Amino acid sequence: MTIVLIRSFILYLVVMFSVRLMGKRQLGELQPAELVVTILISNIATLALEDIEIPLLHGILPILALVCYEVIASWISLKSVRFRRWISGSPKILICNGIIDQNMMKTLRFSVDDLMSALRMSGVFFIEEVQFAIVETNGSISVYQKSAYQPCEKQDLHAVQPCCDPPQTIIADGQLRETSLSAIGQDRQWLDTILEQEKIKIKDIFILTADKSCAYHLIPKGVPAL
Amino acid sequence: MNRCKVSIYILLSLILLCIFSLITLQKQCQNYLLLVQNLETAVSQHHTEQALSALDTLEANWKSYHNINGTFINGSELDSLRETISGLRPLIIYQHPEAESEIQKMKNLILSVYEEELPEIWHIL
Repeated sequence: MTIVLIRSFILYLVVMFSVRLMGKRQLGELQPAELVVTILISNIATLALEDIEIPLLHGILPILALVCYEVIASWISLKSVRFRRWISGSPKILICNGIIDQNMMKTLRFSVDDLMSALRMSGVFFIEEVQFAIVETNGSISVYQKSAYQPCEKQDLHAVQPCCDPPQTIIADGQLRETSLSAIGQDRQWLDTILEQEKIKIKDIFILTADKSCAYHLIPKGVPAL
Repeated sequence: MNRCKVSIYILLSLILLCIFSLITLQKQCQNYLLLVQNLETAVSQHHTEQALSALDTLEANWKSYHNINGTFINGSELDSLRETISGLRPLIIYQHPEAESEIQKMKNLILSVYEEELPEIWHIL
């Protein structure tokens, strides 16, 4: 029992390290090679956890090796387009100017239901509205609507405002974040002025957000919910 | 790029570990075979005392290196070898004719355990 506990902790650390080594790209959308590696890692880790007859090294070694292969392969695919295409494939156009490429659908083994479902998830309910529908290398479908059906934007109405950065969290749960303060181009003196104005201490603030125009929003601790 | 470097270092470390395991197993295998050879000679010449002493040495060696071997080799493979070693003593004491065949079996087991770890195409496939 104790051995299983210790082995599971070691494997947990190894798997966590492996996932971190694979990087953030791994956690979002999986490319085919990344999906294979993820499935294999989970399977190998389970085997080594379940059977204590298997040396722990026989579990750790393939996990680390697979992750290393994956990282090196993704580095090579960054350098070589041909390798990237071989590993990940290339995007395929399913709909062009409202016309479905039926041969491509057969090649990709995409059913009409799959296509319609993907279009609906992109907020499109009529095929004729689609300028391009592209199957990405990770299997998701990107939809680009014809200009007549695209939603109206501020610049279409000539209502463009100057670009402004999103507000930063300056204080969270009574803790000051110095990096956020410098990100909005302010210093401690500015913060002290606000605190003086509001007659509040840092430790009593639940959240304080501010943007580059120095507009801020402050919520003290202990404000009752409505 | 950093991840790539780390991956290359890890891979190199893993390769070194594999080489280390092969060298360790080869040394162990040769050591065991030598001890089994001594045991076999003593048993074939019906020198019970000498055979028991050789078996004691073999068992002591097995105990001290069992953990290291267990780090690199699957436990079930080592179990059959352990069973053979532990079953030898009564056969030697009573000079049972099966003792020699058991020793032969042990030799083959030791060789197979080591050879199965060698990165040869037949073992990989």
